[in-house]
Amino acid sequence: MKENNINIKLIEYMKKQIIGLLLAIITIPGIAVEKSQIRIVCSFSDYASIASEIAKGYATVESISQGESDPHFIPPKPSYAMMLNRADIWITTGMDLEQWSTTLIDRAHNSKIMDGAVGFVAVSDGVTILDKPEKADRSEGDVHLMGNPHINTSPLNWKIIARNITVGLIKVDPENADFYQRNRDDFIDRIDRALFGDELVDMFGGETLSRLLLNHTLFTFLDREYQDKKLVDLLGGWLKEALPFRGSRIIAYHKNWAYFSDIFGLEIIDFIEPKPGIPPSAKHVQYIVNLIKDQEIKVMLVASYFEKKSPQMIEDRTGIKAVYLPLFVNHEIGIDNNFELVDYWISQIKKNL
Amino acid sequence: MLSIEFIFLPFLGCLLIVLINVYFGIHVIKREIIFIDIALASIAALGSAVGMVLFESISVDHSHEEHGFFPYLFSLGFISIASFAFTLLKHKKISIPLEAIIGIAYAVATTLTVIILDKGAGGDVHVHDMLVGTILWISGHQLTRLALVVTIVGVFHIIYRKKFMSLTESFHNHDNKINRHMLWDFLFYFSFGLVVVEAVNIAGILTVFAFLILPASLAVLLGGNWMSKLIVGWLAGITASLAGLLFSLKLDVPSAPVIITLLGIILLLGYLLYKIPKFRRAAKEISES
Amino acid sequence: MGTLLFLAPPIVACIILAGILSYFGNHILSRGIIFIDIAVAQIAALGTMIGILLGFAENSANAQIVSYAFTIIILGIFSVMKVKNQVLPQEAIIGIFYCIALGMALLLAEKIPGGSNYITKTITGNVLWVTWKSVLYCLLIFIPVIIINLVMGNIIKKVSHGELAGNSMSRTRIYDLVFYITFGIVIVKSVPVMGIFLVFMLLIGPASISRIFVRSWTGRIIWGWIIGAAGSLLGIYISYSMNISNGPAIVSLIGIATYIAAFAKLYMKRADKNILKQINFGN
Repeated sequence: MKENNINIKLIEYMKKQIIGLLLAIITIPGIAVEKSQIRIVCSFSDYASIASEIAKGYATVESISQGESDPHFIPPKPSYAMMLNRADIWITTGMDLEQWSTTLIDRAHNSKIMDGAVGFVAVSDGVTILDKPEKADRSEGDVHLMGNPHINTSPLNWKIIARNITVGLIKVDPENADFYQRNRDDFIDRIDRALFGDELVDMFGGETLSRLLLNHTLFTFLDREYQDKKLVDLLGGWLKEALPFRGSRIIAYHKNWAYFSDIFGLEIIDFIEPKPGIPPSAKHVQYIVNLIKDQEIKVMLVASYFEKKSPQMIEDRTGIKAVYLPLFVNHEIGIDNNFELVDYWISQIKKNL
Repeated sequence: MLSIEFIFLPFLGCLLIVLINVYFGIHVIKREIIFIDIALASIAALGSAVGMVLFESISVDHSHEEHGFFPYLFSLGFISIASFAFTLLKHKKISIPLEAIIGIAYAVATTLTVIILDKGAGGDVHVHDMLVGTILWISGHQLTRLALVVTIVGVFHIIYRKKFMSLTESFHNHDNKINRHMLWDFLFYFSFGLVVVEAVNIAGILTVFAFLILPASLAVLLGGNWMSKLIVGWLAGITASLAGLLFSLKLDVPSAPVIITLLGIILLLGYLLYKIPKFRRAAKEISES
Repeated sequence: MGTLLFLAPPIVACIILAGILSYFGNHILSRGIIFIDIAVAQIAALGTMIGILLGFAENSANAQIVSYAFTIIILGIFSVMKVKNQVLPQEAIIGIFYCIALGMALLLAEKIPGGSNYITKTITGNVLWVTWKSVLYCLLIFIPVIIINLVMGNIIKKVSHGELAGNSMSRTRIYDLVFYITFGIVIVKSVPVMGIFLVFMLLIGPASISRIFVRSWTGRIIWGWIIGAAGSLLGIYISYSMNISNGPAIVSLIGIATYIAAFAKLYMKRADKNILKQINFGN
């Protein structure tokens, strides 16, 4: 009898220990998740998408301007200031595109994210800027003194954006530096493969290919022979998709597409409304109409935040086809990240050229 | 609590604008120059643009808080010229309503600004900012400027109120006391212009216009003497501002449209209530006491 | 020659619009409701936004129908609101409608992609892109408008001058309604083509200038037409030769001309009035 009692007591004791152990095991992950997430606020949804790729679960990412909005105009919603007030990191282009953000940041009373502070990330740092005006004043009428700020349209720039965001993340959260760097390298590799295709990336490495592309010497390089075919036959990804329209001449409504056209080989001959909000003069209109006719230009790229009436009138007048493209990632129309955005752009342009 | 502190400064801003605009609104409705504030705002913007271009003091940072000194001076200058023109052109020889003159000034000012900014830059950004305004982001500095201008203009009008009121009452008569009228007409438009410049920079053209017309319309509809009209207008304006700011926080929408909607509702309700004889009698009793 | 051919459709469009707007403009000036066209344009834009929210595609016929319907309803309410002893001037009522319409549009703007394009100041347009087809459509819509106004012209003129005040309000209201609806149709059709400021100026400017100098009603309409057409042509020429944005060029030109005319009249001596008498024809 005594042995049974002891056995029962022992079993009870064991049970308690095991339950205790199980409970401890269950709660450990809970403790890990309770580590507070970093709050990232971005100016545009594109940057938000890239930031999510790098920070993954460690941060909540929000963006102020959404998909189809005009990047120059933001309705002053109260939640924006509050979002910024609680933010740890503010991601912005860093050129003069987001002019609406200065008053917003002032009002947010958040010293962590002011220019120069740890939480301020200007993603254009290190990007090769196009359309830099030669004169220092505004006599050329250019809106953007620092050059063309629509840097999100080129996948090469995403790499630099990702690097800048990673630097910011590491400053704010140095413990997880490895995690962010790994994600960044992953992301960059995915961009390379999406741009050039697996074969060329495996052979030469993404960095080399990117440098060649940036210097406009990629296709000369790819003209070389390799194992009884040309290198260019091994090209994959977007650049291969875009080959059919490489070298085509098009018109753009506004200067949104400079970086895209630079690497995908589109020649943008002129603009309808180079200065936003200022309709063209009679001389310019006549010039454009003749240009379209003489050079048989078929396509006009229009960012989808523009009103459609003017592009339609231009279509009627000249026979050109207006191709409306969203400028940014936009969940409402099913474009959830930057890759899908470029997929969409390329397929639309191919369809119409 | 973040919310209350958040709307405190904006509410003060609205309060100041309501105080002065209801007063001007009653004048403006009587004179039938409804769109004068939109016109003055455009003219001021034109002056600003000219000032900017002439002195090349265009900074990269377009914060509206930093009124460059020269642009501001120019906007005041243009407002004076416009005030002068409006004063002169209210004349029996001119057989078109003054509102038409004002309307034309508005159109010309806006389009000339476009042409001038053609040489400058950033045209589109400014247009949008001015329409909706950023009252939610009002700063202490802006509030102080507004308070200063409202006080100066307000006191001026309190002192000379009889003059302005009699001018407005007789606005549509064509008598010949030309010279004496001219100075006070000019001062009317100019002082209003000063207020408009500050208010529009903070709250945007639309809100300022709404504060000018909607409460004053209710006041005029309900009738009574000047004092009762002012009180009606002020009550309507303050209620709409407070409720509007709170709702805009709750619903997370820009405050301007909410405030305007509320002003419209108050106008409608007030008017309907007034149609009911019982209320009308009660209101008359209150106003007479 | 090539330039002239190229500019032909816009020039013709301007001439047609100068004519019809001069007619309406004179009425507007008599009635003292100057800003009605800007209000109508904003209300129409709001109507289009409502159409889009109801699910119709942006430039579909359905959205346009919603826009016209909405505009006509609001105009109907407006014309019914005229009472005999009005405390609040009609222009104030227009201001109220405009203000609220703009506020609504701002609220809805976020729900619609590209919503900010339906807010008054950004209703730009460039008559330079207009095609012959567009001009034809405009004419098609304007012809019934012109016919109606020719037939009812005299009575509407009397209403505009407040001369029917003795009769019942409901009769005046009916004529008012006809006037406003035909007016509204013209505005809603022409603003997307020419932009809101050009329409506004062609409505008010030439009519003002002619009204300052000319006494007869018909004379004012005709001179308004001539001035409007001439102003448009000159404006297009300036836009072309000086490479200035087109719409603003025409608007500024006619506007400044109006001011010059007004000041000229102010400082004209009696002797010059005889010249004026010779310009007036009719009574």
